[in-house]
Amino acid sequence: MVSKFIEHYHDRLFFRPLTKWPESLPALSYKGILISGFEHSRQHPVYELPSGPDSTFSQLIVEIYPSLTLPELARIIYHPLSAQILEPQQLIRTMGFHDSADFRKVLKLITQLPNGFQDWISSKKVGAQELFPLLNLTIEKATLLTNRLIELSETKSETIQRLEWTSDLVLMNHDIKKLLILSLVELRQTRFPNTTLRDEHLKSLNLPWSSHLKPKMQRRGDQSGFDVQFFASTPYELEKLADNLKKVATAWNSNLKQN
Amino acid sequence: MEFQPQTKLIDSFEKVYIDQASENSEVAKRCISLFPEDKIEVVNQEPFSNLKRTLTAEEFDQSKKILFVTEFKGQFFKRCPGASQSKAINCCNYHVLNLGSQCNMNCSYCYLQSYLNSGVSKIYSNIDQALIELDMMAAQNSHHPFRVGTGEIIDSLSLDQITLFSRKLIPFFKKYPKWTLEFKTKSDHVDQFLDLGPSKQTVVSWSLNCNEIIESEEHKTARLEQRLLAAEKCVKAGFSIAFHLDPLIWHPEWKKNYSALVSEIMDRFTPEQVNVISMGTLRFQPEQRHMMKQRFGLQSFVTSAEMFPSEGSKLRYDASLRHEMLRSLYNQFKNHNSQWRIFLCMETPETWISALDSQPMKKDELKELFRALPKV
Repeated sequence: MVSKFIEHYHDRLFFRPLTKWPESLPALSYKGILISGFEHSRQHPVYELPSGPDSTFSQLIVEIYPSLTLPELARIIYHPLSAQILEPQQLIRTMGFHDSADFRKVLKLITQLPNGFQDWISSKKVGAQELFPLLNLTIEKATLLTNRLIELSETKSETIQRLEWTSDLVLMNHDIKKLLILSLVELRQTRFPNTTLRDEHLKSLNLPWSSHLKPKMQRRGDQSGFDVQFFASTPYELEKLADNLKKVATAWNSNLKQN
Repeated sequence: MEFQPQTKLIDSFEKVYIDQASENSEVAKRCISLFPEDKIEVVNQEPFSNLKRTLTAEEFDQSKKILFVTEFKGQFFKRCPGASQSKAINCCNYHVLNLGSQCNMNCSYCYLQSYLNSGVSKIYSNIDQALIELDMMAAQNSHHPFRVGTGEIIDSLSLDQITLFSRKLIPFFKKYPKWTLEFKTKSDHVDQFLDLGPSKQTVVSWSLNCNEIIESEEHKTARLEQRLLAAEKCVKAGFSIAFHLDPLIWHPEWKKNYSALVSEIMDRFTPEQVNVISMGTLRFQPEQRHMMKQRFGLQSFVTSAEMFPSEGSKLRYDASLRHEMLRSLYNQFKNHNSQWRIFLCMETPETWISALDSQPMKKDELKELFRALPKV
């Protein structure tokens, strides 16, 4: 039954929900705590949800907010008012997340990171595991890094890569301020110096490629090699290119044996 | 006289829980006789069973200090996990017999970090059941050359001074002379079974690494010299031995240090004494990275390694580096004596060809290891 208005609620579980509460519905409260409709006017009506043994707060949250993102979940669980009414494990499991001590650490950390980064996690549906590297940093360093990640506005995979490499390098005693100004390529070279040298060596090999072959050195996971493009309009041309490829293979092989 | 384990082994466990159902087993009775009374507790369920999920670094560390003697309810005998990836890697027909789980040693690269979800180290009390399972399998397969190892999710010998499982297994395998029993260890615990030799079908094998890597990555393991001395004792007592140069770990001095390791092996053993030498480079599951970094920081050659996604989803070194490392050690052995039997563990056909110029089935000395066997 609606008997109160938002202005009557001092205790508000404001967790920056990403979806706006419909104007046409009353806001909701539970045990005297406002749990939805935070953005509505002071005169907006509030419906007090019944509390009882059959309905736990976690279940209510899931019904009201069926698809919480990781940061939303974090902000609910670590909201000061939640301690009174929420069983975090139940909410985490009901929302379909895999609970663990590290998962909880990530949730806690998320609430301490800049809002822009929290919103990026939500919009890109980033998983908790992808954020694990941040747990190895101090909150000051994690904040510096995540602010920079937002500024750079790279793709999700580039951002996750940068996050992991930077965290690794900080643990390897590199200065985070110097790392933050590196390009992704430079960061990769810093994290993988030996592989970079091997790749550069491969790229610099003086192999007898025909001008009709267009080799491009590439790294694919744990392999580096040449992606070769060619065009042949006759069987004769193809044979000539195949002969040339054999010569390249011989030269490459002899180089490998020398090293 | 009953064999007495080293005091430091007994002291390494803070608590020993014994499952009520296992209380009368031989191994439980032995634990009761070896450990101080205040460390023993009989329980009717697995301790810390609320931890049946991915362990945290702290929980994983703690699980190494708590022993739980219990019955194993599943199938003891399985094919090596490599067999399930046989499309991607060459499979050497290894079979595993799991008589416990977790390890009291502490290697930075250990795959158990992403595998175990129990807060305790387990020793299975129903080894007799395992032997019945093997007898049943032998009814159809005793003429096939099965290789059975006990060191997949627990070191074969590091707790053997407590369990004395080796003393049951060695005589048992004598019934099936075509089969090979393989113990795989980083310990030097062999004295408890030496009197059961000679037994050529028992292969006692050591994971070996150079001193520098043992020092930095293989914590609480026997040092190289201790492992080699134990291997010499086994040769003298009439057992076969094998070595696993695995994982080879890149470090700035790897060429010099691994070359010294190979020289040490060649100086102290002959190809006739060493059943096989397997080699493999560092590899691990991506999920393991976080726990490794938490437990060992980034100053380790393993956690700071330059790893890339590879065939089979594991992280590995750049392929050309792997080939260089494997080829370098392989050539050193073969240049010394072509009789050394060397194979690559969990490696792709491409790596075999690139590192060793061949596939295992084309090498006379390895054909038997890689020949397909009936699935059990």
